[in-house]
Amino acid sequence: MSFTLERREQATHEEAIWAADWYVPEGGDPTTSGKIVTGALDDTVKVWNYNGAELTVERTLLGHSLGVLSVRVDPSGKLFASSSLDSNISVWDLETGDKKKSIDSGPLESWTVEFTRDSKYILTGSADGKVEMFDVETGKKEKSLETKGKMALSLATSPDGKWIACGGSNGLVALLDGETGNYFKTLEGHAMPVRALAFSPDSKLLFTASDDKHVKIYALTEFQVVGTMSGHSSWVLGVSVSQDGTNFATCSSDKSVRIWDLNTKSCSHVFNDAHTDQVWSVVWGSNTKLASVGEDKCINIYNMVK
Amino acid sequence: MRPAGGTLLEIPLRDSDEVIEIDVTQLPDASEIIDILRQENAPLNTWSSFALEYYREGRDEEFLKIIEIGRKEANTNYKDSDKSLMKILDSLAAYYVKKANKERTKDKRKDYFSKATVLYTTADKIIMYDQNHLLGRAFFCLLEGDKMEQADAQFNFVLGQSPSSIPALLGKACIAFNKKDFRGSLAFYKKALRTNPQCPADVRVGIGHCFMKLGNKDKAELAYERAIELNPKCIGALVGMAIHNMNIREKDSIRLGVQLLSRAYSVDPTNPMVLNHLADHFFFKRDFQKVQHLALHAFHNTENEAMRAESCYQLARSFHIQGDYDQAFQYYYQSTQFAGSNFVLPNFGLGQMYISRGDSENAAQCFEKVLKVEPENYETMKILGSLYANSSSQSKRDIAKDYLKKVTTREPDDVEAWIELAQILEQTDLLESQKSYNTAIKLFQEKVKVSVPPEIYSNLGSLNYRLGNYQEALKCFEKALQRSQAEGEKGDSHYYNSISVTISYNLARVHEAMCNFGEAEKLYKDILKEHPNYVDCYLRLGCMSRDKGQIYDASDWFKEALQLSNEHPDAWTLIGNLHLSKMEWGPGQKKFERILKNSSTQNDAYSCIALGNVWLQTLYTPSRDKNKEARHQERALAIYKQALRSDPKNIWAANGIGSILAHKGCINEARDIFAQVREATAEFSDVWLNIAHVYVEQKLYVSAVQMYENCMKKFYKYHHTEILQYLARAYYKNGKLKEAKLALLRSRRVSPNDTILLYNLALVLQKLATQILRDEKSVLQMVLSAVNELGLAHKYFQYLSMNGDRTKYDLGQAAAEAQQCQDILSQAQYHVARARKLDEEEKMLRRKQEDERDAFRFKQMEELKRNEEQKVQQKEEMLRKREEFKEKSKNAMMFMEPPPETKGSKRGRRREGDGDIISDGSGSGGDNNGESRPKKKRVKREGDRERGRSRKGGTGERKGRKPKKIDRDDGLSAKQRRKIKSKATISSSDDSDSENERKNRKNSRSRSRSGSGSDQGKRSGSESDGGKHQKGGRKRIASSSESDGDAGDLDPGLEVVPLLRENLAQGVEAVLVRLSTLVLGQEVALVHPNILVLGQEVALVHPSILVLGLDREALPEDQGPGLEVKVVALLGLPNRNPVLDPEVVVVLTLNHGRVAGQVLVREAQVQQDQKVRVLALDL
Repeated sequence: MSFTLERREQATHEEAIWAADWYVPEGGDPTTSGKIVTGALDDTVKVWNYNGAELTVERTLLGHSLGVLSVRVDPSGKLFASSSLDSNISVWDLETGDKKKSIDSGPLESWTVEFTRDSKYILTGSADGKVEMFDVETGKKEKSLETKGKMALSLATSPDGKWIACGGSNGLVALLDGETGNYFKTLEGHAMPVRALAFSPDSKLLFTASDDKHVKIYALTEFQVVGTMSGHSSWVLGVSVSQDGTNFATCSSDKSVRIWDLNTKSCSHVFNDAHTDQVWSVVWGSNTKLASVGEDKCINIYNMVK
Repeated sequence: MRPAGGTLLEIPLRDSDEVIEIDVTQLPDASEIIDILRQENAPLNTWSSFALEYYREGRDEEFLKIIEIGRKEANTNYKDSDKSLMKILDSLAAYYVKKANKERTKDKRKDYFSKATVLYTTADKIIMYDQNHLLGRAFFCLLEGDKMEQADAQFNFVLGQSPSSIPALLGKACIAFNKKDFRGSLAFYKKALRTNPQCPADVRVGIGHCFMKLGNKDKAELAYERAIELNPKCIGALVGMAIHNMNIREKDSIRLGVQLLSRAYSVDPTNPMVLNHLADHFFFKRDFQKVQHLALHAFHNTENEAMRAESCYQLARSFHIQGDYDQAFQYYYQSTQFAGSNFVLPNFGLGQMYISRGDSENAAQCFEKVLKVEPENYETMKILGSLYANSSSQSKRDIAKDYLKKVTTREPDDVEAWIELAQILEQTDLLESQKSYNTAIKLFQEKVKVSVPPEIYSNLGSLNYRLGNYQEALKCFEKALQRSQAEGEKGDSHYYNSISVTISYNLARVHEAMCNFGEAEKLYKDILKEHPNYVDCYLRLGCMSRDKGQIYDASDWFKEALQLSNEHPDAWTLIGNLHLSKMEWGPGQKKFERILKNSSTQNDAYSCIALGNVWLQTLYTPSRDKNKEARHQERALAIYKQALRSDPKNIWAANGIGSILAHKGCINEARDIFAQVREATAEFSDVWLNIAHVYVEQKLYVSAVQMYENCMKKFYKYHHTEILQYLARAYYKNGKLKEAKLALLRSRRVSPNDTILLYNLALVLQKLATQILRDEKSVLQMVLSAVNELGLAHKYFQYLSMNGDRTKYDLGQAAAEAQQCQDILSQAQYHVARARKLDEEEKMLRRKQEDERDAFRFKQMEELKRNEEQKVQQKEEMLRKREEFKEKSKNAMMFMEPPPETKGSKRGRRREGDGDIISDGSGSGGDNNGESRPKKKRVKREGDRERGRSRKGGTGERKGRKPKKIDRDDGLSAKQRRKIKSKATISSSDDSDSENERKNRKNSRSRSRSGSGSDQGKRSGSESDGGKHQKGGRKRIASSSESDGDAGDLDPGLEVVPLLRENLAQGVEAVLVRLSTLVLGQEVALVHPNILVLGQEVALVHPSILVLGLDREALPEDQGPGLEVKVVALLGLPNRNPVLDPEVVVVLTLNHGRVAGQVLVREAQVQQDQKVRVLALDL
């Protein structure tokens, strides 16, 4: 297997890119189609079209202030949500770029966003350790979910809808029931902020990325750590699992992007100095395409050849 | 000196011609002879003859007696009696010289010498230049040792008189030999031999020696052989031959050599030379008993010091090899005492003895002596190198390095030397050291054919670790481990086991450095399984837990280490640091105090500084007691000083002192100290921060920002919340609110729940919004977002006033700020309305301009069309005329046809060209060009900015490249790096500063508020002004013909047209701008596409009129028409006339396409006809 940096799109935003998501439509060829959404400190959200070779801006969306910190396309692919440091969550139509909803909350009441599997609700973490649940249609707060933890920095819902995971600023990861939103269990293992979470496609594994430079894998059958990966020399800021679940990728403040083999749980490739500054997010488009964004305003696309 | 004569001596009888004949082979008792001589009143020469015979017989006593009595009583009353007297004196002197030479005790020796001297001086007075006398003296001089030159002179004198004087020749030969002039020596010997072929065998021995020294072994052999032939008992020849044979180093020849030696031994069993050589032989035969016996024998049989040195050396050597170092030491020592300066072997041995005694000082001295004589001896250099390598003195170590380098260049295959060199280079030159190790490894593999010792791999691994080549280090340690285990199986498993443990530990450290924490942890734990006492493993495991944020686990590991070694200073230090990191100052302090109480670590600099830092930080806690401040300062200072006393180069202590000075307000002094610390090391982040803080204090914000940024880049890969806040503060103080905002946002991105950050962010947002609202130039979009952010600031302050952290900032203040935001917000609508109006006006203006432009373009097109039509008409006319002409001259001038045709076609081509330009200028293609051009420019500017940034990075790198000091001590290195953290001097989150800031803010706010009030008044005034001027002022003076109308508006009586024509070069268009009417925001359209050039002179035709004269040559081709000049600012004092006021800068913006640039025209004294130079062009 070999990995190459396929594209390096520079100066895509005026300021650091803090968030990215990659959506591949159902039935579309995953290597040649897809939309990448990026959010940056320059308050803009951009929707990019990727056709397998070229990356072109489809839309530049304004309206956020104080920097966009997370973007997420909903499971259906119709909508996407973005959140900014001013505690605003905006919901957009992925196709048209229309703003469907703008949800404002208290100063410390929203952080990164995640959709529930049914795309009906948006989840976001608040400083008091709760997960807030907003109705996408009405923009109203539906529920406040208890996590028994500190501020939720990262959120993820499992593909089968069974779990909501929530990574705290104290390193503890809370597992909530995906159906009811009830608190289920706290996974210990990290003692420093967990800034990224990801589920395996079969929803059996949870990946946690932390400031302690480690990535841990928890099995959701016995709720035990089944793998601890180290290699980054600074905070791990992002983690993403490929669609077939054979590889996962991590990115870090150390400017590198690493690709790991899930079977052997070992690092199969390192892109050292993939970016010239911190790498904030890494997302798989398919089994062979990977994108990363960073403080250096670049979007990188990587290709994997088996 | 043997006089010629038979075996009979005659004594002439008194008063007769008869003689008594005495057979010298049967000499009677001396007294008998003396009686006869007395009776017969024999002449002195007879006396001397007899004396000599006795001497020859070895009957020294009798010889002396005869001489003594003869001197007094002999008959000297005959011719040439002087000569006889001389002979007597000389003989006696020679006798004493000989005695002296054999004498060992110095006093006696001196005695003999002085006797000889007296005799020679007496003789001198008789016949000074008697040859024999001179020869005697010369030999005397030779023997005395240090009078070689004198002897030489005397021999020369003799030779001058009788060139073939054999004794003189031999003497010269001897001198030449001693002077190592073997060729010369050989010549003298040969001459002597030629003069007297019957010379004693010794001459041939001398020749042999010379040949030997000259390397002509065959001839030497012949000479020795001949000598032995002549005198089978000639020991010199026997020994020479023996040595020659033994040097051949073949079995037979050695045997022959030994035989010869034995022969010599049987001739003279006491000859020390023979004995020593035999001893030497038996040494190689390893018969040490015999060696000792022979050497001792030799020693007792000679008074010659060189011989004795040799004997002692032989003895010492045999003891040395038998391991009796005490005896060996004694004899080596004795040998060095006897040995001349050239015989250095005993020094070599003695040096070795010193080494075995651990006295490297004396050992080095011995080897230095050896090296002095044998400056190229590489073994000695190697030994000295390794001796000095362990020296504590840097200069000695440098010498060692030189020696070892020499050794390795001379003997590039000497593995040991390479290793020694590598080891010494480890201290100074890591890369060279690495190379040396690699060479050593290669030699092991290729030359020595021995597997590389694990230690070498291990050392190389450590070296790579220190160089940051972790991958290489990993390989080395893995190999080392493999090798060590393999060696362990072969034997000495205990030693190799212990090595393996160390290597495993090192391997773990490399894994740790590579962030392979899992492997590292496993290795540490594996080591502990077998060696539960390996304290460092516990410490590393603790540190790893600590770095993962698992403070309690870390604490457990450290405590585990303490169980094994309950005063382990590193463990206590690490625990102390854990406390400090959790702000538990008290417990932390106790841990460090405990280390200092322990007698073995009472001067631990680290603990001192940590304690100092504890006191230092109390100066920055919000709840501090002002009264105690001075006391705590002093206490911290005292502790830092204590640390400095035990280690004057302690940079951490210096940094602490700098911090205290800064706290006391001695900013310059603090800055000096920080600068020095920074000079000493680039690896200490706190000092970077402190320097940056000092810059902030000195209002050098740009430098401060740079320093903070570099610090963050160098030491922290991630967004470091604290430094980002410092950075924001520096920007804030510098009035760069946008940058401050971005820094705070970056910080908040990683610490969303930090309410101090929120407070600071709200503050900056409020400030920034106020600024934007107040700025009349702010466009609508900016105003709107400012209002939005002001709203956010309001929201944040409100939130903080309710939910904020009371210990970190004043909640009441937050409430007040919220109110302030509220106040500004209430005025915001006004600003929004203004901006909106401005926006609309601008849009309208633009529309209007576009219309005008279109109209102009249309007009131009019309004109072109007209021109074209005219031309066509003309052409037709011409054609018509030509036809007519043709008709007329049809027959007469046929040949004239071609020229007009070519002319015509030329003209046609030119016309085409004209058409091209026009279509380019007005067509859609031109627009495209106009657009693409500015784009290019923008890109370029960005490139510049990037270059600037990278330059900055470059300097950072250069700094970073300074020699790194990495602590060799594994346990300490990580600790050292982490441990010492003087609290940064000034922290924005600290109470005092935020207080100050708030105060500043209040001041500035009150100022700004009043300012904005007056601004409003002014603005309304200027706006109306603007309105007025816009009506009258925005007029174009496109060409001279058009300017007529406006000229009336300007200044009556001003002759504009001729001036313009004079001042402007051909092809240059001009626009007149009436300065007195210039207003902010006013646009002046240039009819023709022109551009200003930097440095270009612009004529000022009148104090109130600025002519922008523009050169068409400098104009880019794709420049579209409709260039506009917009006055964006009139600098200088606001209410003063820019024209009348000198030092006025007019900033104009050239507007074309979408790009706006500025033209700065500065003029000190504006007068008519004066030219104005374009000083800056920013397009």
